[in-house]
Amino acid sequence: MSVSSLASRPRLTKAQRREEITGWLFISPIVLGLLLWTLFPMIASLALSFTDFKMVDTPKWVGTRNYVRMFTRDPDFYQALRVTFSFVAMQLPVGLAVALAGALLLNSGVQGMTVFRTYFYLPSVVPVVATSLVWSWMLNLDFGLVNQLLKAVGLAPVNFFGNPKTALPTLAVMSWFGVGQTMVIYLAGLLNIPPSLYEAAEIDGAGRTRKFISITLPMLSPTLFYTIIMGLIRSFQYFTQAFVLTSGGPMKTTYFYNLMIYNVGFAFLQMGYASALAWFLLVIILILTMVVFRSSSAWVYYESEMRK
Amino acid sequence: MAAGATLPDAGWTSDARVMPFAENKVSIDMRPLADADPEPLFSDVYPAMQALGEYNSGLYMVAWAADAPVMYFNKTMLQDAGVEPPPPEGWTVDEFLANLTKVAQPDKQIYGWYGNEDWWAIYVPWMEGFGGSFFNEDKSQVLINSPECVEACQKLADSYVKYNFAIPKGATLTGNPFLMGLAACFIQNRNVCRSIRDVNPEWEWDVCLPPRQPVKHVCGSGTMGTSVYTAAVKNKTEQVSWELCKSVIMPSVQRTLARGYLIIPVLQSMAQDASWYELDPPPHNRDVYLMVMERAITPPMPAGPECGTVYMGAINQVMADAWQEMVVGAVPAKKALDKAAKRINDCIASGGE
Repeated sequence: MSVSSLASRPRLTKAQRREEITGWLFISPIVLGLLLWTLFPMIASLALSFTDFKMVDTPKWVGTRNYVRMFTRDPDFYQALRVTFSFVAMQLPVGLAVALAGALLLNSGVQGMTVFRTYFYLPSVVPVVATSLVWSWMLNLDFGLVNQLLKAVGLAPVNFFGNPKTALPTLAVMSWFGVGQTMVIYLAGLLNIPPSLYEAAEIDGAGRTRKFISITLPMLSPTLFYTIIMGLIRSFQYFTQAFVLTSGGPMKTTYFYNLMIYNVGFAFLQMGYASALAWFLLVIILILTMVVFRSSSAWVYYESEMRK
Repeated sequence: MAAGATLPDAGWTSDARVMPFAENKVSIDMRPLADADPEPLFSDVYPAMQALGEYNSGLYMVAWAADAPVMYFNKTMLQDAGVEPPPPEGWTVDEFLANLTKVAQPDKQIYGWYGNEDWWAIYVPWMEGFGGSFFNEDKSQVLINSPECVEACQKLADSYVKYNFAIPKGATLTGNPFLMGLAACFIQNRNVCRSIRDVNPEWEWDVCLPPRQPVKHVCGSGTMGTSVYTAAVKNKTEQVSWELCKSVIMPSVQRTLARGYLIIPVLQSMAQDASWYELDPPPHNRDVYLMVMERAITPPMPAGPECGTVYMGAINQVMADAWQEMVVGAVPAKKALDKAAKRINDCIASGGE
């Protein structure tokens, strides 16, 4: 809004003012909730990150000591970062690809699409703890279904969660099966692509691959952009499955950053340091999100814009 | 509740929380109340259990049970493997390693031991039993990488990495393999009897002392109890809260708790009280629960709370990491304990970081 248009903004009539107040009243619960239960705790945690706070006594100001400790005196900090980044690298690209592949299959005119759509979406609504426990049974060394199958074909059983080499990849593979929500989002995006584009491409002699690269991907790019951002944020906050299944082991190979924050805050009762760790996580996620945003002008195509 | 300032006047606690609660003024020192009490109940409490509730000469917990871990063994599994069941005083460490190696057939899901070696009540007694010590005299440093402690921990780790009779870590994510009949031995407290009774297995079982170390036979301990919290001072209810706390060691209350397979009475005069002594199970070796009290040690406590204890905090986490390295990563005990000792000593020297 330009300065001149601000200056020339007409005075509101009584009815308009009443409407504005009503609008504010309607959104006030959510705004109050945001302030009370999101913004205020965030500000409090930022303040606590500069203190030594053991929860049962009053916080003591220590300046930037927690941040210095993070980078110079805590070996678990770098281990947790390594684990989390490795997990994101394993889980995010493949997870999105699996979701896209599933959506493409569902969009291929298969009969019973609504049934399959529900079927693939269901794991997303089952509580994570419940699915984790089911996975723990399926992957159990002695009597798990997967190891029974391996033994049946003459292969040695695998201690999926007990072997430092397999624990993290196992968690990554498990997460690929929970892409139902993303799949449904991609399916909605695919259904929104005008069929006329594909028809025109076919007339021009485009094959399947060309249609996918030149029509499907560009038209789906806003949806891809959204799912990449959300997937990035979610992956960096991975916690529940590691907490339930591995507690960060074996040998800290699944010691996720969020799990470390939990341990530092609630097991070691160092809430000040845990707050500092949490703010650093926020900075990492912010930076990566900004990188994706900045790159989006190169690969995200909005139908309403003209490419230069 | 402590963080939210909503503590009750009195409540349950465990020996793991005695020091942190005392240091952070969550619980009060009940010594003046105990000293003024006309009933001389505490003179009858097992000294090891009494000590678990004490810190810096103060009394912060009234122990409710004589709880020291014993070794539960599956007699049927041992006999099937041609191994003579252990006597009540337990096997030596070498017998423990040799006999359970004979039992284990991992490819058939038969294991010798469901290990909980990263619990201080297992590894600290082994360290002391081999002639070592967790802390030095003034508690300013840990001595966990002394030759004696290294030897003890290596033998314990060998159950995984050399003899392969302990259930691999991560293999059992649900359920207790001993109760499921998959492991021949398990070291734990009295309350396992109740679980075994509930499971009602077809196999025979009994209890004995944990393995005898070469220098001296040492066992762990640990118990729950009651505390008066600082809220009682604010509410002026210290006396009535104290009456509530000490009631857990009244003979009538002890009998009720014992009948439920929950405890071995903490009063020495009730050592063979019918309320627990005539309970079945365990089948034969009831006296093991009394024998273990003669050998029980209290958990090693640091000079201050900054680095936590063997129960929680940095010391606990570092030791858990070291055990993971030894039993999962097959890192030699010397290397794992050198690293752990450095981390803990650095933490103590830096006041908790």
